[in-house]
Amino acid sequence: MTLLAAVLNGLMVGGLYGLFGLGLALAFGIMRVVNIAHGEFIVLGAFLGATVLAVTPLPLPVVVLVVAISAFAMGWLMQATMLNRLVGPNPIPAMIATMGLSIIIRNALVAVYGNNIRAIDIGPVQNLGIEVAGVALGVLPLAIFALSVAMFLAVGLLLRHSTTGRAFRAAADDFEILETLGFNRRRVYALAMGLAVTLAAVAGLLLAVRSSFTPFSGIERLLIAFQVVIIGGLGSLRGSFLAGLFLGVVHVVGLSLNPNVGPLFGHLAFILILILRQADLPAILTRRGR
Amino acid sequence: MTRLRDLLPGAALLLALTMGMIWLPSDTRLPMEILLVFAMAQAWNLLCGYAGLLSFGHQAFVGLGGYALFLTVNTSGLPLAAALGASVLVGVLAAAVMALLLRNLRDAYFSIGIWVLAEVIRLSFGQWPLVGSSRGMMLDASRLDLASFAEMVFWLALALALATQIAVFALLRSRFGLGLMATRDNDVAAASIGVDARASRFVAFVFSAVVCALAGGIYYLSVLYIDPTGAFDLDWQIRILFIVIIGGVGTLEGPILGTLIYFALRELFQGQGEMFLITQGALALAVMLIAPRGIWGWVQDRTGWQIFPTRWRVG
Repeated sequence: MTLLAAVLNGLMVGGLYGLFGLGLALAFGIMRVVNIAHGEFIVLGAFLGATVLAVTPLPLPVVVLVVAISAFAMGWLMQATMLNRLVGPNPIPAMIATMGLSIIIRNALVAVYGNNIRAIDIGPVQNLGIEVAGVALGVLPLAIFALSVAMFLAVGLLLRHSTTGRAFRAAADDFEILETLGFNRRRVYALAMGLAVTLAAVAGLLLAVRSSFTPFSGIERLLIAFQVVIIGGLGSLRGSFLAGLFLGVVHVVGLSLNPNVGPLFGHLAFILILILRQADLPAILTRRGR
Repeated sequence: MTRLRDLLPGAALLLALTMGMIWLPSDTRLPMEILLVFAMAQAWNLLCGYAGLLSFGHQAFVGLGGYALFLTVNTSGLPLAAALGASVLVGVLAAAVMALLLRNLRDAYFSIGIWVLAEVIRLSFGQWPLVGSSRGMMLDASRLDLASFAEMVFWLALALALATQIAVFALLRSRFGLGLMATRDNDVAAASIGVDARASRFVAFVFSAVVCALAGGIYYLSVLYIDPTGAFDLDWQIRILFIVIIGGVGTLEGPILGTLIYFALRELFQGQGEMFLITQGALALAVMLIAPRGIWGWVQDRTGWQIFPTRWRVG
């Protein structure tokens, strides 16, 4: 794979990374819940999609819809039955509860599906390619990238122009005022978690269509989502999207250099960004300019 | 004023448990593992329950402590005591570097930030030829006295467990501990009377790292073999988390109770790895929903019992 091809492929994976981060950021921004099981929902989306594809004749777009609806129900249930009881100024109880949930989901997946590496086979579409400026690109990755951009735009529209979306943003700022306006805070939270888990599961299924996964992939996916949030900033759709693209490029280029290190290069890029932020670059640059 | 009546129940409990460990009807492997896992849990409890820092990355210190010991023994030929010293040193250094990298990350950002660092360390050790990359390395046992080896490892583990319990107890009863708990309960008020939250958090972090590094060193010394997948396994962290949460986070008795529950469950679920882990996850989740301060916290809220009293009483 040439460098250009690696960069382009990274960008296309990065759209999905951005969605991973967007889901985590929504839950954290709106109800201050850090969902440690976020990565497990990403993988659950993949297993669910793979199972539905295997046992029913439904085409992929319909399966994506099925996964989205079930994921929304799971997120809604998780928030309504468990996490609503744990929201508050101290974030630790909700983190430990979702850590417990992540252990349950991960090991249930191992018990049901075994711990082999899996991939989703959707037939000849997988191998279709077109050539753009001398670089061969898959039709499927392009379609997936277009879909992730569309999902970003849809979430942006939802947050800006719908009552529910405005309630989400209001809940992030001040839930007490939201309640005086007649909104039920717990219902708003449950809807937001439903949306967050939907983003995770759908992006997880789309990533699984183009690469392999195991029940243990959730940890890596959670860390990617988290890095997207830190690099892109909380409460910025554009930030999440760009951070996702950046991490996607780092991962794919890194893997083309050394295929044995997994997500190491992505983690190192994240640490580098942490260091650069602490170094207070503006101050250093102005001092040098003087 | 330290009074005998504050120290007596704890001393009696520790003595009874020590005797139990020594006379446990099994070989020394099981009690050794119990003691080491307990030490890690109690140290992590100081960090989470008292300093308010939830770490998901302490498996890094376990592995680093093990590798430090292996590298020292295999390459330098120094005695075992020096190799354990290397585990401590690496624990301190790793904690200091991590604290520097993570110093601006609070709450959840810290929890997952340290997890990323632990993953970086795991993946890097898998690529490092000197430590056998992902294949791992054997301990050069030619200079070890294999006849008394198992005994010695057990006594090391016992010493670490007792030292950790006593050190955490003493720390919490000191000025430092009062500052730590004051910061946890109300950081603004604590800062206004001059408590340096950053410094006390740092001390708790380094302490927990060193205990985990030493425990990792002793554990892998007993195994004589180390590899990155096992040494930096998230399961170390899950074990610690489960023990502290079930027993009672922010209590000194909780990790003792949690350790006993953990190993009882493990014997019960022998050979059913996934069911055991699912049960751990479900219990941790249930505790958070029903009694967030764990079993001992629940007892304490109703009875006021403290076997290791960290409160000062008047009169």
